Amino acid sequence: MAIQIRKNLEAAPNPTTLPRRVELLQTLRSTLPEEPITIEYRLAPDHQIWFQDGDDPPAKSFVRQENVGTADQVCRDRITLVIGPGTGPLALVQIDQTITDSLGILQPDLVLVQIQK
Amino acid sequence: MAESGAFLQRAFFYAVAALLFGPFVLYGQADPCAPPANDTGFAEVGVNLGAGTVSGVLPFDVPIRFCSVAPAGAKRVTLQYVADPKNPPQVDLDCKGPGGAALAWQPAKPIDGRIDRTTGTFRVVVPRLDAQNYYAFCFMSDGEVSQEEADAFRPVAREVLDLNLATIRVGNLTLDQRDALRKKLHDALLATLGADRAIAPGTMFDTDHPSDDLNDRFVGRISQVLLPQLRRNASLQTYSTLQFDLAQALRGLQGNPAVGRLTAALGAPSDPNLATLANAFRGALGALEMSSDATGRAAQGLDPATGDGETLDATLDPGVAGAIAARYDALAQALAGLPELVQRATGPGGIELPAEPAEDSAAALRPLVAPAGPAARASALAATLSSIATNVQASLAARAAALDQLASDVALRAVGAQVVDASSTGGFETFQNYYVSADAGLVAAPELEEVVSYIGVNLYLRPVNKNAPLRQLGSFRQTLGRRFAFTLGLTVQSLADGENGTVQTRQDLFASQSLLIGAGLRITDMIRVGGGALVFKEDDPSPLITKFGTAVSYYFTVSFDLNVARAFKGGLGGLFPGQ
Repeated sequence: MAIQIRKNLEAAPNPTTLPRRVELLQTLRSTLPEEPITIEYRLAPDHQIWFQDGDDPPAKSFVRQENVGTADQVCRDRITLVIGPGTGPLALVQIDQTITDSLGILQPDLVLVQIQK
Repeated sequence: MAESGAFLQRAFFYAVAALLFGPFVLYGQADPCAPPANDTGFAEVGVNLGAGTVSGVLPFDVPIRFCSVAPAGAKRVTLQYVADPKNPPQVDLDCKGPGGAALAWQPAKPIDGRIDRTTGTFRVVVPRLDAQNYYAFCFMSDGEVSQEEADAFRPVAREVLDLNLATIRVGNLTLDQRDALRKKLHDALLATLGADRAIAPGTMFDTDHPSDDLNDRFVGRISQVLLPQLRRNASLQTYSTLQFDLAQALRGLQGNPAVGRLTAALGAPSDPNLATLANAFRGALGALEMSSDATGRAAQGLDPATGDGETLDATLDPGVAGAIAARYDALAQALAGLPELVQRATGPGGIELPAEPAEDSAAALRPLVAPAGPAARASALAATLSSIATNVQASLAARAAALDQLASDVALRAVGAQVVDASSTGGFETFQNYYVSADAGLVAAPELEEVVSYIGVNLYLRPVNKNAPLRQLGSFRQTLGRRFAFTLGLTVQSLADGENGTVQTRQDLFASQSLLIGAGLRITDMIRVGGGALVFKEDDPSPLITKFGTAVSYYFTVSFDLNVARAFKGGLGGLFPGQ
């Protein structure tokens, strides 16, 4: 029914070099015993850093589904950050996140990933 | 004639003495920059930074070692200079040209001085300077600021960093943007400092000495400020939508007739059971009974009764955001109790509402409290807003802490600039020494079949510092001007003949000395070879004339600098036993 962010989104490793698979971690809790949620991650369209999910082509966003209960739950989403077309090189990149609960209520979060040479 | 020869000889001796014991700088006994008594291998020059002067005319063609009292607290002293052969360079106190113009300081990389902590002085070695130039020397010093000053500057730095970083709306930084941001912060910080303060080199905001490590540290620290800042901004983007939706959801519930009947019945309970139920769900009933204005204030996270305080999107106080989060949480909890209230009020075995048939009220209320119904949505909105407000609270606190840390990373240094004017020109009295040198040696006159000793004066066409080794100044050709000189000399021994009863055919030009006029080249720093005309007196070849007339013959000389001769015991190596 409602999702509470108990611990904000983090990325590991951070700082990191590219390409590199990173883990996006966040602790969530629902007001319901079990609530399906959708988590979308996005990168700005203009810069050179992209997501790559497995063998899929690089993309600027990806979506994950989770089920969250009333207890704190650590959600881990793994994704590879790669360099593609776009402006750069970047020293810092922002990954935006939007959590959509079962009622369609949106809640944002974000993380900054430091890129090293 | 004999008197005039003796006079000339004395004059030569005086000239030689003047050259050997020429002007020198007097240093006071207590002067920490007093040069050692022995030869240090450098031209030692004292500098008075406060007065902007040096202890004398600057020597040329030799390395100079400046010494001065170091500015208070200085950890580093550097030196650059500008030269002008015609006029003293015009330099402001801050080492800028007239009107702030940049000057062509030499060398490009400032020369580092060495600070002696025990004496509080510094010494800096300057490469060879050119003769007959005017110089301006810029002494830059820097050192640590006091702890009190660093502490006092920290809030200022924090405010500067806060204002400049607050304008950043997105956390994607290219390397160029990173450098530009660093420069912007550096300049903004510098703008708050006086001319005698600067950012310490090698620290995070030092833009003059970039390095990968420094860049990484900078981005890491900056991201600690930007992350909560951007997170707060992102949270507030949905805040206005969510609070509007919450107000609408609450008003929808409040305007429902069945809810009206429920709140009316529980607002004025007709029996103790209803009163008990009303007390148990006071929060939920309060949310349903709020006025439209109070509902709007509640949706904003404010106190519904008073509306006092800042809204979430206006506050920068984590405490205020925390209070807003608590109010949203309380509202969400109250609204989450509505299904139970309705169930207990209208469900099987529940309390029968007096105003309407129970079945009607239950039928009208149940959709409102369905799992995805309006009450559940309102509660979810309030809970989400509570989560957002909690995030904002945490972000504000995290950003404030990160700014504190960032401000403490701003390291200052005390800097100073002192301009010292000097010249390698000097007056005639000083500079004539560099055009004249004395030497002594042997002169051979082949036509006369004589080899005698002589002393001479060499006249250069350019200033020559004999303390500068020729080989350090360039090739033979490059140093030709420092080698060639015209020579004027006197023989020490007489060239006159006619002794032991022979006929005299030759006399000296003066009493017992003859004159040398010629030129020579230094082939080493000490040895000179030369040639020219030896002037003496010769008997007239006519047997009818007994007069001696002036005569000239060519000569060759090999000589050495009289400074070397001073080392000889017994007075110029026995050349002048009478001295």
